[in-house]
Formats: sequence, structure tokens, C-alpha cells
Amino acid sequence: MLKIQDVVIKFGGLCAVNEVSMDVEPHSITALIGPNGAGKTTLFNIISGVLSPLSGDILFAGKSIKGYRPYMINKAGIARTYQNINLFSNITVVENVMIGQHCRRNSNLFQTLFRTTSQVREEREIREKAMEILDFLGLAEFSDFPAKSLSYGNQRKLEIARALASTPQVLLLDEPAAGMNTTEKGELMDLIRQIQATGVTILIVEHDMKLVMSLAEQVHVMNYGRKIAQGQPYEVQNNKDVIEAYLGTE
Amino acid sequence: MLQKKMKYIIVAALLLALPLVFIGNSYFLLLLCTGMIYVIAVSGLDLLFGYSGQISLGHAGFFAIGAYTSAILSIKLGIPVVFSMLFAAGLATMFAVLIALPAARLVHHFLALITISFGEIVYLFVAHADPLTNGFSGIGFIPSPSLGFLVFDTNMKYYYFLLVIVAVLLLFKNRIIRSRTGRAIIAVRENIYASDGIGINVKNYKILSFALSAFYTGLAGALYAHLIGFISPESFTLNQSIIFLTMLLLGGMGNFYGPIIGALVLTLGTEYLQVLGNYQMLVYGSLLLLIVVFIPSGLINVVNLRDLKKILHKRTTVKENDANA
Repeated sequence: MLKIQDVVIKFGGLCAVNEVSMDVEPHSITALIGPNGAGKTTLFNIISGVLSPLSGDILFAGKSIKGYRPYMINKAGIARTYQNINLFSNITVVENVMIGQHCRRNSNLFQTLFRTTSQVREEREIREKAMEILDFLGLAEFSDFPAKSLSYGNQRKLEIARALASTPQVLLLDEPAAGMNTTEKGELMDLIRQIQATGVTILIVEHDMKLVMSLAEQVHVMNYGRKIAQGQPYEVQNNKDVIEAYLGTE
Repeated sequence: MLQKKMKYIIVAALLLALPLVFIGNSYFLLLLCTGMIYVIAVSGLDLLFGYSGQISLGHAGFFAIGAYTSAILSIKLGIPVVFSMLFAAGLATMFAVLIALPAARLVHHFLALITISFGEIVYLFVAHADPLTNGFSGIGFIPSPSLGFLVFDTNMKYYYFLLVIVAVLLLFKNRIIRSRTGRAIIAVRENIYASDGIGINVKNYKILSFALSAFYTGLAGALYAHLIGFISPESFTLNQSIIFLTMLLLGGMGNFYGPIIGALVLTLGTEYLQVLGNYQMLVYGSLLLLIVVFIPSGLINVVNLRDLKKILHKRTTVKENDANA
């Protein structure tokens, strides 16, 4: 589904991502873990087009998406959430999800000015779909509240809702459980499984090991910009390099 | 629904009847017309600054392009005024796209600077391109617009002419805001990074909001030229750009009613402060300062209509519940 090939990126002298390759299988949940500063979010930024790699390639469904701008990558079928919440905070929750559908809809300015039947119909569909997604995530009751009034956990959910609104084939989740309590984390896990069940491929960066180990089918580990291990959760947990990276050597 | 329709009908009737109260007071009607033209210009600025978050300190430039183009086309080429106005607004829109191409990369202070320069360039051009614009002597005898046998040659007639145009433009603005296009523009204001990530071509929407904004302000400029019948460079200085911005901030931006209130209050207010003679600017400045300090989100938020509705709605539902119990 998503193939990352020998990707390199440098900030000044620092090699933030160094010849990293990984395959994300269709319909899987794949996790990317590693200590702080390992380059996980940087890799996410490369996949989503925020950063352009120095060398290497990114293939999505067999086609290179290297050099695409972020909006083009979203249109191609990859959506993401952010580690630091990036919502449209002064507008309502439902409007956030309506905006998420932007690239899948097509009414133009002319149709808008003259309220053509197709534009009116599309507007209704956009709102209905947004409410459906909010319902799915349990946010429907907050639909008319400003996004910034939501609790931290719900803001993270709204980020997922907005990403889902663009009907992605691949969903990138950047630390979705950060700042959530145990109950919320449990709900989040169910939610991620439900999203997977709808046929979406999920790539997740997360620090919460319990969540990663119970969700992911494949785990990739990064440290100092390099990939140091990959495998099924139990394999990675017992990998010498991984333990060293997290706990240090004696 | 019926109640809503009734409300619109009452407002429309009041607006239609308003000039009859001031029959014989042509000056007040002129003032009212100027205010309405400012409503259009400031609504344009609102589309740019209030909704897409891009500042402009050069809107007098679009106002000037609209005014001069329509005046010159109608006088020198004899083009019917209604068409020359549309053409003028179109030209302002084209200039907006040209500035927006580089400006879409800029934010805040840099955008402020580039728009100031644009306004100044237009000002210098109209002030010195004598063969075309007649320089500081200005252009006079600008014809009145007409539709068939209807000639809008008095302030009263012009008021009705403007009423239709303002209504259509405000309706369009409202439709744009509540659409896919409008939401994308608002998304760009709220968070550029997230907009890009969710499939919005940020640059294109920044350019689009510049273009829409300039169309409104350019058309306002054309309407101004044909209302007054005379234009000269003094009306299109940086000061004019600042007046637009002040009206927007005073009324409240990113809001349907904000530009209407801001433009009308400031137009009529400045006029009635003239009785204060030398103290006019002092009082004017102090009032503005007070408003900016105490109601930074604009006059519209003194009485936030939506909140008021919510409060009223709550009261009635509570009463209903009591009745049910």
C-alpha cells in the first residue's frame, strides 16, 4: 500500500531520517515507535508531503508521491492527524469535518453564487456525512460547539474525524493517545480497530507501548534517524537493539 | 420560517421607505449612498481580512482602479455605465490576482507592506498619468448609470439603485461563506498547515479571496465615481485604505453585519461630528480608541445577535418545560 524506500532527510548537519525503508501492508495496522527525537514525526511529515526528502522515494499504491504538496497527497488518499493538535479552532466541530471533505467534493464558485440544485444537494450531503462521522466517533453532541471548546481527548478524536472525512485509504495517526486517560485510550483502541475494519490502512506513531503492542500487526522501530528493527510486536519487544535504545546499555 | 420571511419583508419595506422621510434632504441621501458604497467596499475587505485572514492596507488601490476605469470608459469610449462599472470591477479583480500571486506567500507585516506599496503605486499612477486621468485636476462630469429608460441621476434614484446592488452583493457574500469555497477560505485563516494537509490548495484560495475582495471594492469605487460625478487622486490615498480597515474593525470582521454597521456608523458619525468644528478629529480619535480598547471584536459584538437568540430561546424552552410539568 505504502512503500518507503531509502528515505534520507537532513536538517543542517543532522541526519534526521537516514536511509529508512518500510512497507505498510494494505488494511493493516502498522506502528512506528522509537525514543523521542528518533525521527518518527519527521518521517510522517515526509510521507504527508510537509517535508521533501533529500533522496529515496515514497510509493503509494505503486505510484511515486515524492514531491507532491500536502494537499495533493491528501487528495491521492492519505490523511493524517497531528501530534500538536491542528484544528480549525474558532469554527464549529461539524464545520471542521465538513472542511475535511473538501477534496472529495466539487461545487464551484459559480454554482455557489446561484445556488444551483446540485450545489444545494451537495451541501446537504456534506453536512449529513459530517454528522455521520461525528456520530461514529461519539462527537455528535458537540457538533455546534467551537472546536477549541472540546476537551483535549475529544480534540484528538476530532482530528481523526476530519481526516476520515477525506475518505483516505491510508490514515497516519501521530500520537493519537497523547494526553488521554486509560478509559479514553481503551475507547481509542476500539475506534482504531473499527476504522481498520472499514478497509483503511493505518500507520501509527505512538509512545504508549500497551496500545501499540495490542493494536499493531507490524512494528517498526527507529532510533537516531535509523530504522533499527521491525517485526511482529513480540519479536520487537525481545529485540536486543530495541531494548538498548529504550533503556540504554549497561 | 414564516416569521423569518416577515422579518425580511419588514426590513425591505423600511429600507424602501427610508428616502421618503428625507425627501428634500438630498444631502442626507447622498450621505446614505456614500455609506452604502462603503458597505460594499468594506464587505470586500472583510472577505479578505475577516475570512481568509490576509490583511490589506491597499484597498484604496482597488477602489481607485474601479472608480477611474469606469469613469474613463464611460466618458472617453461612451460605454454604458452599467457595463463600464462591471468592467472596472473586473479590472480590479485582475490586479488583485497579480498582487496575490506573490503576496500569497507572505504573511502579516510583509503582506501589509506589499499592499501599502500597491495602494501607493496606484495613487501615484492616477496622480501623474495626466493624459488618462487628468492628474490632480481630476475627472468631472462622470455620467449617471442608466437601465433602459431609468436614469439614476438623483440621490434618491441612486439610493434605490444601490439598494439592489448592496442586497445582491451581500447575498452573494453570505452564500460564498456558507459553501465549500467559503469554508476553505475560512480554513486558510484558521490554520494554513492543517488546510494544506486536508486537501485545500492554500495558495489558490488565498488568490481567490484577494480576487473576490477586489471585485467588491472595485465595484464600490465605480459606484462612488458615478455617484459623486467627480474624482481626483485625493480620494484614493493610504488614508482611504485605513478608513476601510477602521470601518471593518469598528463593526466587527468575519461577520455578516459587522461591515454594514462599521461602514454606516463611521460615515454618518464623521458627518455629525463636524458640528464639533476643530475638535472633530479629537473626539473621533478618542471614540475609536475607546471602542478598540473595550470592544476589540467590533460593535456587532455589543449585541451579539446569536447569543441574544440563544438566551431568548432558552427562556422559551424552559417555560415550555414548566408548562409540561
